[in-house]
Amino acid sequence: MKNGLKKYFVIILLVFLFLSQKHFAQSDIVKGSFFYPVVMEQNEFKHEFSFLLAKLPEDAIEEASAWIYAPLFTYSVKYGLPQGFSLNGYASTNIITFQFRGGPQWGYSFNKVTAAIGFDVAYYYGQLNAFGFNSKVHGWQSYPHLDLGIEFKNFTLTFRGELYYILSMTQKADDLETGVTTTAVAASSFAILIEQPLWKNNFLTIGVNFHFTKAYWPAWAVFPSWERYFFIPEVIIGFVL
Amino acid sequence: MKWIKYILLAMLSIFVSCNTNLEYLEPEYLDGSILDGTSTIPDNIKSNFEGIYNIKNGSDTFGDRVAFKWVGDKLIVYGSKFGSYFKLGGGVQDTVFLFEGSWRHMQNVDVGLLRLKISVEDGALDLWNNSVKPGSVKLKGSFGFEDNPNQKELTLEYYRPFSEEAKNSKFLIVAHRGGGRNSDYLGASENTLEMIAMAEELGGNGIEIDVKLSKDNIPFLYHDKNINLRLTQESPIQGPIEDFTFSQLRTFVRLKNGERIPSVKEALEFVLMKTTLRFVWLDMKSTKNAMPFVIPIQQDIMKRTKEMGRDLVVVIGIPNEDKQALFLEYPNSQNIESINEMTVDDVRKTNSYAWGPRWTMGSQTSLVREIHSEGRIAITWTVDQIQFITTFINESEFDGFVTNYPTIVAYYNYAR
Repeated sequence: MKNGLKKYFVIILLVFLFLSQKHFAQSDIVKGSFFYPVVMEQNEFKHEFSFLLAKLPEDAIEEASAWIYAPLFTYSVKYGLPQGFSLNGYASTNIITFQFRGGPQWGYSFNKVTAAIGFDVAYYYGQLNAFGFNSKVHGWQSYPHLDLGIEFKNFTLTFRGELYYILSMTQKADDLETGVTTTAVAASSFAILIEQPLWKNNFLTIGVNFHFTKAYWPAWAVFPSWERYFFIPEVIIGFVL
Repeated sequence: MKWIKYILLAMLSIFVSCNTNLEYLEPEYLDGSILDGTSTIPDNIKSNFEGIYNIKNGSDTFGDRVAFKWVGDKLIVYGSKFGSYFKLGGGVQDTVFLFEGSWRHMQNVDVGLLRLKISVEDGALDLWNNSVKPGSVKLKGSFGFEDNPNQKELTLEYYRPFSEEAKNSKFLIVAHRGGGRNSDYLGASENTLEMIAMAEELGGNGIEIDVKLSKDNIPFLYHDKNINLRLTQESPIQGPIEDFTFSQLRTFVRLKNGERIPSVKEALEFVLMKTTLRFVWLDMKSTKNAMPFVIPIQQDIMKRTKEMGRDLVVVIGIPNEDKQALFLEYPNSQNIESINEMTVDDVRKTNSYAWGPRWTMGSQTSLVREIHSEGRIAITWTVDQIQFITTFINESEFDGFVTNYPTIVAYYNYAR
């Protein structure tokens, strides 16, 4: 991440850190959180808007253009089903790439802890005309994930571990198909998310996500030929709508 | 409230402190060298070692087959898997051959040490007697990761000599940025004399280097627009690199592995006098008009190349219309060796020595044939994926290509 961007994130984090907090009833804290894997009531609906910024490795990006640092904007929805199940959906973009992701999740709560397992499937598509190349990518991914949430008095804390499989990926540069991948383990990630009221009934999510990946899909255009894993941290800031 | 502060501060400190780049350490023998006390392998039998070998033990790490090639006094072994290559020193003890050195995967940073031996029962005498046959020579030993050479068994068996096609190949393997990028962790920085010195071991017979122009009009090697920590160590000067004089850059900037920034003149002198490289592509990256300062240096080297009878061509890169206009402004530009990256018509306009289209345009066989019929060559860039390396070597009519993985290209070129 560029130093300027990092500075703004540090400021946002510190502002968040020292915000005065209202005392909410425990159920409100849980209900108002989005990523906390609470067992949802049937037909309950939640949605959230977040943006993510990654610190990309210089090895991959070199002196790349500013768009490489573009944040990823995500609109997320959750819909409650019977028996502890819910459906999750996410639409993300950083302008050059779009990802549509969704899948079921099942959760179970005991005392102040909730655990959930889920499985999402995603389709992504990207196009970029830069560095003298007209490049395109599209493919399918799957995301089995395991979530663990802990309730605190004024906030919720969620840990999410995720595997990220490429089911298929096709890359094109100009009219040449430059890469086709099928069934390869691409990545794993581990996220820590805190959710708390910001004002009135509006909740804010703040978190970090650590990727260990060969191919970070939002920056697909700069990960062409390595056979090695990169560590990529992400900051997440979200607003429950 | 107390908890959330601790958690947030922990998240913040983890995020700010995390290092997204890799650490790479050159492995070292901790138990001394097995080559101490050995005599050198005689030059007249060195070529007996060259050829294609099957890997009997160790193929999980290095692939099924490798190519052996001497580069100076080093026996270099090129494999296909992840761009694996060995850099071996050799010696003779009685009639037995001993080899020791390091291995590396170019596409990741796996690295380690290995030791190999050819005993009399494994064909050492065939090598002495120039009677090597398929299966007659075996190298046995071990390899390991990082500083331990004894973790896994390694056996290589002679399969066949290089084909006539491979022996006579004039295919240009043009190593990007003088041999490799900083992100390849080769122990030398990109665009330096130290990297150029490694280019041939890495399998290249040509190099591409990036040219900038200092404030006092000295052309030098550097890729990026700014002085930055990707390419340099911490420096007291900052900003666009072309805003400084060459003397300031030499004084205040050390490249990633501690080298000083070389001038184009130094780099070309080095290529001419210290290597057997056959091709240099000067990629004109300057934001200014560097042509009047680079071309005289290139022309001087070309003149000396001819006087020495050396097989070397240094070409001025013409990547776009702006640079083409600057090139054409230069007196007598039609007689200056250049490589034009644009259309075949542009190549004719600049009377370029070579055409340099980007690889994603495909093999473009009919255009390459047109170029050949005009006495020019065609070099594409930058081919890194194995399936395209094999396609361009075996099916296209290009005379070579720029690559970040010359070790992989060398393997497929020798394995023709």
